[in-house]
Amino acid sequence: MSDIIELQRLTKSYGSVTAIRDLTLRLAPNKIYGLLGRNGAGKTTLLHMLTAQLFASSGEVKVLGEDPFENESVLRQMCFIKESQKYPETYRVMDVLKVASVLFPNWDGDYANMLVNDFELPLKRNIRKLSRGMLSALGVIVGLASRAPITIFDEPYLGLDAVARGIFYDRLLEDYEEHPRTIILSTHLIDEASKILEHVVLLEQGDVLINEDVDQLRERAFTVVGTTAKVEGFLMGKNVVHLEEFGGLLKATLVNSREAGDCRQQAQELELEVVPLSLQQLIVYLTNKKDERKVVESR
Amino acid sequence: MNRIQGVLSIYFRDKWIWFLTPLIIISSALIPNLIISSFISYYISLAFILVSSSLVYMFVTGIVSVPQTFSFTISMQVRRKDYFLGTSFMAAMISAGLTLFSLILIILERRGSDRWGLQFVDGVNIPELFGILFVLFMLFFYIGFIISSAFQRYKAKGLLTVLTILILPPCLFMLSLVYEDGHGLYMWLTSISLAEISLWSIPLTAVCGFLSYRLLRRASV
Repeated sequence: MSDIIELQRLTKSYGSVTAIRDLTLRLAPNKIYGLLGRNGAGKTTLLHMLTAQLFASSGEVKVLGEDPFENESVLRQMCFIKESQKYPETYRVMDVLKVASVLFPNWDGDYANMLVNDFELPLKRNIRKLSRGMLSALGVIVGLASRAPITIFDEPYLGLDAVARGIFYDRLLEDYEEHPRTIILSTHLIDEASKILEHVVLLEQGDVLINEDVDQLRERAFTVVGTTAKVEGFLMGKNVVHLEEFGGLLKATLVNSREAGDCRQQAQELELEVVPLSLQQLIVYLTNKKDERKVVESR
Repeated sequence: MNRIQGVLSIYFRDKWIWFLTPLIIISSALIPNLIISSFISYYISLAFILVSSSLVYMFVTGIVSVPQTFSFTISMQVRRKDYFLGTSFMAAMISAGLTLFSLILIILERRGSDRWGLQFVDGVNIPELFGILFVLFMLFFYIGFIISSAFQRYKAKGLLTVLTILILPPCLFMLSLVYEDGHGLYMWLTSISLAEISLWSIPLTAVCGFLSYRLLRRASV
């Protein structure tokens, strides 16, 4: 199936600061993508350019095979919910939902009402009087009920409590199963979101560090624990992202290359303990590793 | 559904800016004057007061509409072109409403009254007057709109540039009144009819509208 989003050598600079650097990326339809990265990695900038709300300094953005800028047929198939969403000051919750029902062609009003009940959102309350969590819930409702073929959430749950976040994940998965579509979720809560993500795009300083299915990534990345000598022997020629020594033991996290054989099997044969690794921990190690490398290079 | 209708629905739900604020402005301009005029011999035209307060309202609405609605509308995946057309259509509807209201008052006041302000519309028939007032209201809207569009596109630099362009020529003109042949300029100014002013306003309105669109087309949110 052809890609739903294609970014070709995309760059966005603000004066001397480059937020996105020569980025090339392709996203397939009907998948849940996690757009991950540290603060300032370029996630929000990238999403703004995807939805034609921001202009690239150079490069090409294609959504559904076309440039999204001023392209009605493309724009009406997208819904972008951002953390910093501004609403007209006099609007109430019901006004936002009413406007959304007019502007999104696949809008499901009954589903929106059900979500309003789930998140206990007061329909008649003025937007200015909503708490941070309620504002996030409103964004989540618009995003889910829009049923847009490309739905993008940028940090959608700031201020949402754990229960509400759980409702969001559950509803998203249920609705995704019934109405498959491309969902891009930009988040810092990697552990929570990892349960629903199918594919991960990790950005680091405006470039793609990882672009891989979650299952494959989980398969390739793991931690081994054992005596220092054994582990060091095992690690020869492998891509190590984190090392931790305690007592006479060494704990190493590695990301196996796709071509290499079954490293887990090899580790087990050497009687090393293989420990599963969370996606969040892997992302932390990968992004830290790059920083450490930079420090070394600058010396 | 047509996206321009979608933009209109955004405005229709924002009753404060587009419906209640003009009502408040018109009422606060007219009611005190009506009360005073019923007690004493009043010599200022109420229609004149209404038109001048409506011009201020259209100008302010042009300024506030972009910060209030542009970001939200674009975030709802509406094209910038549709936002501009929808907003212009909304402004045209409100201008037509204010023009009608002003005309009714002018017609009522013209009957046996020679209040100050009515001399500006002497000899102008009703259809002409409709066109004149409508164009003036739209001009004031677009002057406000270009200010906020410049801010949306270029932030403080854009705002400063547009304000300088808008403020400098009238200031220089006033200065020339003082230092040059002030009397001659004043006489020329007072000799211009309302119809002539509105005719000159048409290209100015078109230019302000077009520039606002060009600014918004490249504005990010």
